[in-house]
Amino acid sequence: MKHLFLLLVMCILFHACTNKKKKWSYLQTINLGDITPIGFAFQNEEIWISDGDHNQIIAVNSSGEVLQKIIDAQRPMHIDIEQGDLYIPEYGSDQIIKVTKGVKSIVKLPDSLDAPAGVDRYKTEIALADFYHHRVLYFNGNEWITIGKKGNELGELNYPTDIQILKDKIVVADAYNNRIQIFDKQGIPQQLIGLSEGINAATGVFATEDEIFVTDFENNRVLAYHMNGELKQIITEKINKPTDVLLKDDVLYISNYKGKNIVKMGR
Amino acid sequence: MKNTRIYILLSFLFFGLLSSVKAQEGRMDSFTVKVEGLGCPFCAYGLEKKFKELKGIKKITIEMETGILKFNYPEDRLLTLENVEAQVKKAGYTPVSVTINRSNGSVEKTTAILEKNITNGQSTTFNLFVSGNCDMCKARIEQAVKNIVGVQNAEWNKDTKVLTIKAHLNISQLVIEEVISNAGHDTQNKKAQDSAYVNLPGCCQYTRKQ
Repeated sequence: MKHLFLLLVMCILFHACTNKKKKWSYLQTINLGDITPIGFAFQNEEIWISDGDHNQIIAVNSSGEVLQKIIDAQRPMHIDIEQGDLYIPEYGSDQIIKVTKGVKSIVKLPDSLDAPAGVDRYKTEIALADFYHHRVLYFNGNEWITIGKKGNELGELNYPTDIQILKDKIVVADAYNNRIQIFDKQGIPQQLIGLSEGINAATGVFATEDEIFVTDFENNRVLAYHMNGELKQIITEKINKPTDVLLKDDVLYISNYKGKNIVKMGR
Repeated sequence: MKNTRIYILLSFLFFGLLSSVKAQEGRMDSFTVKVEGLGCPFCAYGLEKKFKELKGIKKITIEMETGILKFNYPEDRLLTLENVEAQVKKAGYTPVSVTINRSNGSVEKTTAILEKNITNGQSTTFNLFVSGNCDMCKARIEQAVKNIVGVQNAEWNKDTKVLTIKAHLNISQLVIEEVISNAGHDTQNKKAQDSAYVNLPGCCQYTRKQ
């Protein structure tokens, strides 16, 4: 009986510990001075940040010290880095700029864009959030397909701002439908996430194979979900108009547009 | 020698005329527009895009912190205060004031709404529920109400959705609700036309109650 009681206590303690580990809590703030971050991406230990207000891309270290600058970007939004290449969606010029070893080129596209707000590269695939056209353009390695049209039904989009390609999914921040929408790689809608949380502008998204994080811009929150749509946590500490979120080495990074910083969360 | 003088004179005349024409072509009016509700970068950059549609526009800048939009525009295109206000509204924003410094030295300005809306007499304060989402909504709702002669103040709370109005006793709540709904926002008693709602920028398209 005594052993049974001990076992029960240990189970409770173990459960409490594992649960605690899964909760995100504040670790550190990387102050960015005057930089107003929209999107960001990692290149090894450097954080590359799109500074929309000042038409530039900045690389900083973990202390916020500026290491490099790319000027003359026209309202850069949710950037991506893949295999050393930096991809910049330029909201102001309607182009996707690729920067390889400091040399800029324009990514060839099948159609004109109107305010691209997000780009993601995955192996040979690339996906773009085409803000004012309320659609996603996706290249699967062989051909381009168009996903979504303006609306609020399943499969429709209302000002998409960020995007991520996973192994067999495309995850879209469906900003002013206040939700995350997941498509398969044929463009068929699979799932809506965040419908019950009263999101007000889902501006940034990051997904792994089993988790999704979304920035809730107007409500100053970041929401963490299981891939099945179940809400795991609402993060509010140190969040001030968040625009992007990224998970790296089990640390959650969140860019605060109004706060002019990136905050780190651990679990 | 005489021919040379004529050539020199003609050259002076030609280049003088050319530089005068170029100076005329290059003369620009400067515009300063104060816009309310520049909270969301996605929409604010959209405002810039809308102005870039104006052919010939130069040196366009937006200061997000102050809500000031500045640009230059060729004087011969005669862009008016009304044109500028219309372009701001087309982008879903609410213009507070517009100042034009014409290249000839003259200055044109819009009048601040509350300055032209001074009223005397007894006033009352009341609350009204108004649907909306963001700072852009706040600017639009408040400006629409402040435009009504007899309204002294209007302040909308983004979190509670409550609009507090200070107005002359004669002002009917129905009139205020009509004006707000015409701007695209549902009130507690008056639903906006679908066309007005659809014309709101994406971030302002609040969830409507059925």
